[in-house]
This record gives sequence, structure tokens and C-alpha cells, in this order.
Amino acid sequence: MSAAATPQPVTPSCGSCRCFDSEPASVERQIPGLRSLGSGYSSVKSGDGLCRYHGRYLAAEYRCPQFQAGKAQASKGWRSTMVSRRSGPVDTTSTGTPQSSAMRLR
Amino acid sequence: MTSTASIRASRTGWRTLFLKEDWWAIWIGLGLLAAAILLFDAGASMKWIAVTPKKWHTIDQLLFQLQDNAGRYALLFGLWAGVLGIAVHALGIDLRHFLPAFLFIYGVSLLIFFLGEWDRAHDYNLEPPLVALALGLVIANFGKLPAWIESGLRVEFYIKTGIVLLGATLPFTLILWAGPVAITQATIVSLATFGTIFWAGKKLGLDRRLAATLGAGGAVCGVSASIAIAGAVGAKKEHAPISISLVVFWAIAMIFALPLAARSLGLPTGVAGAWIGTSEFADAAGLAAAQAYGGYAGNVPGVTGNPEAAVRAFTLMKVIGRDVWIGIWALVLSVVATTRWEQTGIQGRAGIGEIWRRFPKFVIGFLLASLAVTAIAQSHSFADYKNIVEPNLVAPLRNLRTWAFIFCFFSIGLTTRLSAFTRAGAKPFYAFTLGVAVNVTLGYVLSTRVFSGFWTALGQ
Repeated sequence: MSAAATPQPVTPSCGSCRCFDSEPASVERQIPGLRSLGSGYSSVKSGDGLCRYHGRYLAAEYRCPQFQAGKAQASKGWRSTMVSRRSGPVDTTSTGTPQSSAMRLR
Repeated sequence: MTSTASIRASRTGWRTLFLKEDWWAIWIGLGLLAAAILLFDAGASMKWIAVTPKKWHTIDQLLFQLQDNAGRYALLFGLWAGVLGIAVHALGIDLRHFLPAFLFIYGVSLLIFFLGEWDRAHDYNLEPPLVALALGLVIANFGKLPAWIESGLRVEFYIKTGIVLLGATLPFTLILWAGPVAITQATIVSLATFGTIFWAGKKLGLDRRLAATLGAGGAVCGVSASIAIAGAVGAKKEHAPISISLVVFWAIAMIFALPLAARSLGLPTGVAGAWIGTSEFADAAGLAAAQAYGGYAGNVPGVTGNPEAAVRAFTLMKVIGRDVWIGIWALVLSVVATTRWEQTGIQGRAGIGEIWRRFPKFVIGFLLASLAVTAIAQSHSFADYKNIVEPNLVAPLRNLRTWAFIFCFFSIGLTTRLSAFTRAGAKPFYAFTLGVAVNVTLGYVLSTRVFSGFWTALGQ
């Protein structure tokens, strides 16, 4: 089979990356003022979250070459399972600066 | 199925119906509406539990009311705590924190509600929305709140629930009649405001993604638009908080400024509501301003029109004219950011599904509630509607809506930190403020000149 015919691997989207945090309560903590006249639990937020690698706020459908597979979540009952499935990986560790986070992840 | 596909499938599956507060606002609003209809059909009414304070003159009258209705107020607390508690538990918020926090919010809201019914309250501008907001601001910025209170401060959840209930008090025929005008007016102002802020931001050297986030915050639906567009265009982490700070600053300022300006100009309630709907930046803030202005009708010389008209015109303009289009804004800006703006090393993949994903779902509940009550009203004569349907079905739902709004207004104050306003920086402030000037001026001209007759008629 020629190289041209080899299917390119598709990078999974940010929603399932370990650098991506879209858990509503966490997003509300990290974006000051969000709860004042908005919400991390609203439909307009969709599955968006914070990327610690790039230091950006992104839609879950974005992709990048630095994708890292998400961590397995310990089940804490039906509710946390549902939240995790909807939001992608939930990471509650300190985020630090984007640079320090990126170094730590490497 | 790959993990990504699995996540996407679960995101769009039935679970979403219990993981977003928009859907919970629908379940609660329509659930209360269904209960009210069932009771109405059985010849009863929900008005016993949907209790609100009545006018009072002396402290003795106030205490008598409280004592006489203590059981009803306790049961009303149980109703709200029950339905909201189920929802926040499903959202993952700790009930052990939410319930005491909500008890605090309910208790203070009760006092604010009573204060608003003092027969001299209007002499001192003690409109419940403004008092709730001001009191919350004072407590949050000059006192120290325990951490557990935070769990109960769900501004958006309360306002969305209130808007679904508001649908039950708004004839669907009115939405059909006024909707196109609201959409036309809102579209003109939204495009002009976004264009102004984006252009000014670029001229001032701001990152285009920040300029777009600021522009949408000013043009569409405030904080919600800021967060939606920041995600859609892949903004830097600090962009959304900058935009949110400016939106909150101007939204809070407009809660006081717009009713004051409209009052000094003697605008009818429908016209003022349309102006507030065009020029306010957030649903919750705008409803506070509109409800406060509606309270002036019949109490402040020179303010004419139906008290409900301010809230109705505001809702048509803001919710139907501006909020529902956020998905289209997100889709367009996402495509532009990916294809036209500087690359960030991250690839966007916006599709048509973006429109539905970001659609403010609570609007569906608002429309369904309006349809249901309009259908019931159609089966009664006008006299029966006024004498039977209004007091036994619509009025209790309006009372519950008012409660939800007061919870929200008090929560706005408690979640607003004045010190956060300095974070935005000068250039974003200048760009956004230019947009505010355009927005308020254009909104005033369209509401009071171009479509004046239309909005005045709405209030009669």
C-alpha cells in the first residue's frame, strides 16, 4: 500500500483531552464574573472548556496535535458519571499558568 | 464507537436534558404550569401556595400579614426548595450547601417583597428589583459571605425559570404580532453594536478574538454571548473574563440608568421596555430594569401604560429578538476565526449543529407555556377569562414568576464584585463603551421614534 493511500490518524477532539476542563463548576471558578450574569451550566456554553496546554477557552469540537488522552474518572454515582460523559475529562488539579501546565503535562 | 464519538453521542443524548439548567428551567416552569392547569380544571387554584405580600401601611399590618400567611410562605419555600433542589442536585451542586443558601435568599427576598408593597415605597424608589440588587451589592462588597452561600446564587437558573413562567402570562398571539418587529429592531441594533465594538477593538490593537468576544457580549446576550463566542472562536483564557467584567459593569449601570432616563422622559411602559430590551446587556439585568419601570405605571406621574408591558416588551426584544440568535453568531464567527484570522495551532470544526447546541433552550419552555395558556384562554369568553382564568390560573403563575425574579435580582448583587471591574483594561473598556453609546442611542431612536406607535400600543 502506498503512503498516499494510508489513512491519516484522526486526532480526537479537545472534549476528550486531558488538558481540557469543561466541568461547569470548575469553569465558573476559573472565569471570574461568569456566575454574576451568566452560568457554567447554560446551554449556550455547550461543551466549551479551558485548555491548559494552550491557555485558551475552546469549544469541545476543536482539535490540536498536542492531544493527550483523558484520564479515567472514578465513578461517584450516576450524577458524576453523567457530568463526566457530557463534559469530557474532569481535572480538579491546580491549573497554574498555561506554560507551567504545559511543562507539567510534557 | 471511538471515545470522541461516544462523548458526542452522550452530549447530544437524553442525558443533556438533565445536565443543563436551561432544560431544568423548562421542567420546573412547565411542571408548575401543568400543576396549575390540573388544579384549575379540578375547580381549584394554585393561588393559595403562590402567595405574595399585599399592600400595607403600618408595621402592625405588615406583622399581621406575615403571621396570617406564615404557613403559606413556609409551604412556598418548600415548593421552591424542592423543585430547585432536585435540579441543582442533578447539576452536581451540593444540596447541603444549596438548601441553607436558598433559605437565606428566600428569607431576604420575602423582606424585599414586603418592602416593595409598602404604600410609600414608590416615594422612595424602593422598587423590589432595585432594592434586591442594591442590597446584594452592599452585602457582597462591604461584608463577608460564607462560602456555602455561593451554592444558592444561581442567577441564570432563577431568571430562566422565571422567563418560562413569564411565557404563561404572555399571549402567544402577542408573540406572533410583536416578534417580527422585535427581531427587526434587535437585529439592527445588534449588528451596529457588534460592528462598532469590533471595529474599535481592532483600531485599538486588540486581538480579533477578544474584539469579537466583546462585540458579542455587547450586541447579543451579555455574559452568555461572551462565553459562547469565546469558546466558538477559541479565545485566550483571559478574554472571556475581560468581556464579562465589562458586560457586568455596564449591565449593572444600565439597571439604574435606563429606568431613570425613561422615567425622566416620561416614556410609556411598552416603549421603555423595548428600549431596555434593546440596550441592556443581560436578561437578568434587563428584567430587573423592566420590572422596576413597570412598577412606576400608575404610581409615578407621567408614566403611562400597563405595568406588564415593560416586562413583555423587554422579553420580546431581548429573548426573541436577540438571545435566540446566539448559535448563528457562534457559527459565523467560528468559521471566520478558523479561516480568516491568525492561526493558533488549534483547528476548529464548526458545523450547522453549533446553532442548536448553543440555542438557549429555555426559550422553548417560554413558547410552550405561552401556547398552553393561550389555548386555554381561547376556550373561554373574554369575561370568563378576566373573572375566572386570570385570577385562578394566570395570576398564581405570575406570582411565582415574580418570586423567581426576586431570587435572581438579589443573587445578581451577591455575585457582583465591584473590584472585578478594574480587570478589563483601558482599551477593551474604550471599545466596549463606544458600543454602549451606539447601542443606547440607536435603541432609544428605534423604540421612541421608528417603532414608537407599535410599542406604545403593546402597553395598552
